[in-house]
Amino acid sequence: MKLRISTRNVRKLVSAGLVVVLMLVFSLSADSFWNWRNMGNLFHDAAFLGLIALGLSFVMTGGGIDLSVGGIVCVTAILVSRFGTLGGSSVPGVLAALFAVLCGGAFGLINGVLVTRVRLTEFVTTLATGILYSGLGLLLAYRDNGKLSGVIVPKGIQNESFLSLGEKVGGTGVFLVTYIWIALSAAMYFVMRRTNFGLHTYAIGSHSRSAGMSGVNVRRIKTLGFVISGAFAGLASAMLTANMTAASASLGNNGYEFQGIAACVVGGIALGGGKGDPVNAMIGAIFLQTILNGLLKFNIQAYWSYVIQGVIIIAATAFDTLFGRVTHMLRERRSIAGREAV
Amino acid sequence: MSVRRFFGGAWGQRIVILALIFAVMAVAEPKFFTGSNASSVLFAISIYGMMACGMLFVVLLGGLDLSVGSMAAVSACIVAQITMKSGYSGAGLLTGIVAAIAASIAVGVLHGLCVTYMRMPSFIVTLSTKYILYGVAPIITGGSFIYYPQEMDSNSAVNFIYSLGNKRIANVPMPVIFFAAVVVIAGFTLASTTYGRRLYALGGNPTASALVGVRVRRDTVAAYVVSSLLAALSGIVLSSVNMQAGQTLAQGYEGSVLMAMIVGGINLAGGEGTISGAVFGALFAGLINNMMTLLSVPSDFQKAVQGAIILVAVCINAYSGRRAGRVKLPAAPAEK
Amino acid sequence: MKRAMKIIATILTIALAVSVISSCAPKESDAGDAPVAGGIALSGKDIRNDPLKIAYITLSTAGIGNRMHELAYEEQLSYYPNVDFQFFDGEYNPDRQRQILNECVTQKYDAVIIEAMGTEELNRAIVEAEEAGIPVITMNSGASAIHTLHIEGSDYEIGYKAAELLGEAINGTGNAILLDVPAEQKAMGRMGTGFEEGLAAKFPNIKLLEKPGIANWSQENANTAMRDFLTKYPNPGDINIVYGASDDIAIGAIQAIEAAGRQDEGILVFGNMGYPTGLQAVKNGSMFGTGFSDIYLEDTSSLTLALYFISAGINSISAGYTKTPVISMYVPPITAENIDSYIEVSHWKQVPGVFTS
Repeated sequence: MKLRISTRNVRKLVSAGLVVVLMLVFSLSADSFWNWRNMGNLFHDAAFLGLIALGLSFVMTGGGIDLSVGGIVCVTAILVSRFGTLGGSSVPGVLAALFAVLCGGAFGLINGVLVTRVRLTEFVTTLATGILYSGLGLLLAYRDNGKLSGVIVPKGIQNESFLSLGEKVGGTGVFLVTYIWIALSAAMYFVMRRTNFGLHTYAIGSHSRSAGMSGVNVRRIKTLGFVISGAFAGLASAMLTANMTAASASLGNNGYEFQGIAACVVGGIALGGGKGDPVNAMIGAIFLQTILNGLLKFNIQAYWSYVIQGVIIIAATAFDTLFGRVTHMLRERRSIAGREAV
Repeated sequence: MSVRRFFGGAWGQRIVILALIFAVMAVAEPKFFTGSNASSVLFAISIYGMMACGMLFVVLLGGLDLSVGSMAAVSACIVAQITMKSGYSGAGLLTGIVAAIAASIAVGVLHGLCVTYMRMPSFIVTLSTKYILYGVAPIITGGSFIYYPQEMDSNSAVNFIYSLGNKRIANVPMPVIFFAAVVVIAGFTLASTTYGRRLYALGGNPTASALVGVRVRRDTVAAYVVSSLLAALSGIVLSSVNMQAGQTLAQGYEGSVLMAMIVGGINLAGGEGTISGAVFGALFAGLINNMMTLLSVPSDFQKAVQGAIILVAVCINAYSGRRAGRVKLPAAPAEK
Repeated sequence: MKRAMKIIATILTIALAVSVISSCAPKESDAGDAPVAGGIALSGKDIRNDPLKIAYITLSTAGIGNRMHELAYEEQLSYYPNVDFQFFDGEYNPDRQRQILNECVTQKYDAVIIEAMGTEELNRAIVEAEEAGIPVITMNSGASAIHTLHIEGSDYEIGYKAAELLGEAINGTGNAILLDVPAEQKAMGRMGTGFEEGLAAKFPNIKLLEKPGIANWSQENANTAMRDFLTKYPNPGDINIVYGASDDIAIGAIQAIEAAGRQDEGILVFGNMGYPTGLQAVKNGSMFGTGFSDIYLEDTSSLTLALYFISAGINSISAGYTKTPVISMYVPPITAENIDSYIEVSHWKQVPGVFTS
């Protein structure tokens, strides 16, 4: 038991150490890296990624995967901009954000039901629902002349209270979403490590068969994991929409799910589950965003970012596998031929 | 065989689906049943049909190869870039093709090694290589699309490339011929060679296969190589059809291939599935697109329809009792 | 061991927190030559000698249009070796463009030219850039926030014009098919809308049969869609005119028509953009016409104006604009009559590797 805990912290230290090293390297070699403005931007963008990764961390720690977060971001953004801010400026922005969270949670619930009740494989299901949600977002987008074939126009949100959610907190130079992200990361860390729910999630991730036999309600925990993932995606999309003052129907094409998985894996949330917690996701998000920021600093072409993200995921997974953090049940199931489903 | 068992089986379900499609189209748009429409659909599915045949090898082992689209793009870019740099000479074309084949073999070996030695889940490995290759393609082309010249009639290399995609033999377009050839060869391999038998054994029961002496690692790597090779072939043919190569070639095709696998009744857990299933799945994917265009379904709908179809197909697979996608909770661990 | 781990973990967490809080400094105003609101500050830079940085944020760097951008800016800046010109790939992603624009502000660029993906999503970032003293020029697709300049090729107008030309060519009656931009981008590429409205206004007897969006602007998707339409309308005379939102799309349609053996029915296909493949198609007669976006000219104008703004120290804030000035550039329709002269002036022959005749 002692060894496990050390490994967990060591993994966090490794990721955090990498972040520090990267930041040092960049601040020495690029002149506009280490200043208030850039760090503010970095943590701002990391906050969106971090919220998505935060939600994903619950699903992944439970041994699953959620590829639909990109689609959830798209459709909740459209829903918020069309319906969540009805009533004009009198609706407090927080209510609209809450609406987005609830929508996201609802979509996550659908995922959870499909996986636990209808008992479909998580990978294929969330892939399909991701495409479905993106398509829904396209369908529900605001159109110029009201008809389905009309031009999709990003509708500028008029609700001042909601738009203010996307701004910096007055006085400090930090965006509101960054504060929210850090606070929620800390809160979810305690949920993961101190509550029964978190404990059960770990149990399912490590060995769901024996977890089930020990009385853990696997269905409920897994569903809740998906709901959390969807809810956080909804929150991220609300904050993003508030910042960009409009929802774009193309949000589902941006690969947020891939970036979220990359952030989690890099931060130390092992595939297959049972290891990792929200702080890992936070560190991973910062790491990924630092790399992306660095790429911009050195005017490296955008396509390198794809190469780097892919290499990072493979390297991090290899690292985790070699160091035994990928659960042994996973290895057994994986057996020798790389199987995906049982 | 009782009616229920027949319709629960693979061919029964396929007949039901086809019957449904035919019924809808007979009412809504009878021109669906013309010969030109049939050949049009065949042409449209040739590319991802070839990819589906390749990915079948990997799926039989219980894995997935999500990098097929980007692999196609990279192969096309390699061929185009090397050919262009050599001044469109025959030697350059040959070098390009060889280089593309070598690259696809390398990628396949990488997949296989990560999956067997490093025990990494195949979808993560191939998802990552999908993005890596997507980034590598513009590095090869120097940033943008490469266009083959349209008017070098005397140049045999350019003519060869053009005919790869656009020529017809006995009025059948070349891509369809390639597709047919791939289907025959792959089908023969799976059904009648020892390698094919070993693949099914590996997918069905890896532990027993290893005990019996099946060379697990080698066969697995071979399967991933086949998938990448066929993706490369598809990419080269596709770039010949349009006479251009670039980063976004075949972008998103892995979605169609996956849909083909699922609808074709291929068990994603491995061990079951035939070429005919893959072909039917590809055919179904093409028919759906064809239907949506003939019925003038607005473009906005199409993405949602695609997702819904995959979802429905997975549910049907689960309920029909086939193990594709069926997960038992909590008796057996849930997988990704 | 456990305690040591805890201590190290705590220290690292604090370090992280410190870097976050350290970005808590009040937002600094950046440019040393901060423009004066409402008045005209003539304290701009010396565009010949001062080191300048100009950014171009594209919708996407894939595609051949980018090669023309590179040629144009390279040639025009050859007398300004002090200018560091950078292309950024927007990847059709407004979120990404927002990040890049913020980055340009951080790195203190002197001017930014951007093809905005979405009229609303970049407003906050654009306003921030303007307030930092950076003139923002939007190209082709603009934004609703007030910024220094908007230059557009008239995509709506060329669609309208194409409708007029095609409609006249078939004497005002017949059937049309529109192969339009991908669905999410219809607000930014308005040629399809122009075509549709042109037909409706000028030729009420021409029926618009289909108007799908072609995903990814890709030639093979256009080919597939056109093949299905040829099946749906199999008789000669069922389809008379086809308008494609880009040359790739139009060429895909032409391929489908030829594959179906119907190229002698006299179906007129019209493209857009005037890329080399389109120009060649018009020249060899397979395409009726295309709209020629003079990318070289647009780039020259935007560069000239950007340098002007930098040297005069003007942007929308310093000059007190109440709305964004808009310049519309003429997009000439090209048909077999004027194709030769346009091929000569199009500069495409100077881009290596794209033109062979």
